[in-house]
Amino acid sequence: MKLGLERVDDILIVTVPGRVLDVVHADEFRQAVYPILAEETKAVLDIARLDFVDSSGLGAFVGCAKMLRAAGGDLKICGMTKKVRWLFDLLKMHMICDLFDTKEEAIKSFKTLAQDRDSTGDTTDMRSSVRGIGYRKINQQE
Amino acid sequence: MCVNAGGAGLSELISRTEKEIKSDLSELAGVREFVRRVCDASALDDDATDQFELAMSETATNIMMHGYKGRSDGQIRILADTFPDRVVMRLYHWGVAFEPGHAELPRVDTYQEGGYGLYIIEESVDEVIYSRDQCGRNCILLAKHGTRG
Repeated sequence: MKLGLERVDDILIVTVPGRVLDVVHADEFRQAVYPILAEETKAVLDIARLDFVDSSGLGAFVGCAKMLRAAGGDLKICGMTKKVRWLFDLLKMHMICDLFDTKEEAIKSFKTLAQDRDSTGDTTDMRSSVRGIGYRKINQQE
Repeated sequence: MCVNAGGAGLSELISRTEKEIKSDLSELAGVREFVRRVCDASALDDDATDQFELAMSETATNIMMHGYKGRSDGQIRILADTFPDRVVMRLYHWGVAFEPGHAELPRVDTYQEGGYGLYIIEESVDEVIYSRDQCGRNCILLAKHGTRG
């Protein structure tokens, strides 16, 4: 599975390809995304292309959130269709990661959080971030 | 025969459609397409159709994974009945019977990565009935009520 990857400052945005993330595709997604997230503390999963997610796909997203959280980081998910959002709401996904309509909103929330931490001197939860690399595309999905 | 119209007689039946598949996960996309085609021609609105699609996909997955224990050569027969105010689908299989009890809301906040399927099925449709006839045929009935606004 070829994931779309781009970076905005210290935030990695992962675009999930394809229209379906079900029991057929969930393991392949895990194998592709887990090694990438293992290196990150701030990640956004852009799932706007997904039209169908089942319990296995949702479980894979939970695994992503678990990995980031274990590393002291944070995962945000954006771009849910109405159908996928219904599933997320049913299982209360908002309890483990923030959900946004757009990628821009997800990125903004990371930056707002960082500004708040800078102003208060709070260093808990997040690992030290790598700043100053600006915006660059690593690998854009066709 | 495992015949149950989901709480009402067959006199209101508008249409009946069938599909047979093997217990292979690659068949799931076809199951979802079948469900959407039936529901699109029924009284169910778009949201109800989406939820029925999800419930049927999860149920078919459970049959393949648990009923047939991952074997890909098992037979699954799907019978879809549309009524003026609901759609009833039955999935027949000849694998191991499983009749789960009531599914509680899984705890996402404990980061569990599985075990959501049964709860999703229960919450996505209005009726779920597991049965097994004397010939060893299992039937899982899902019914969804609704009318287009």
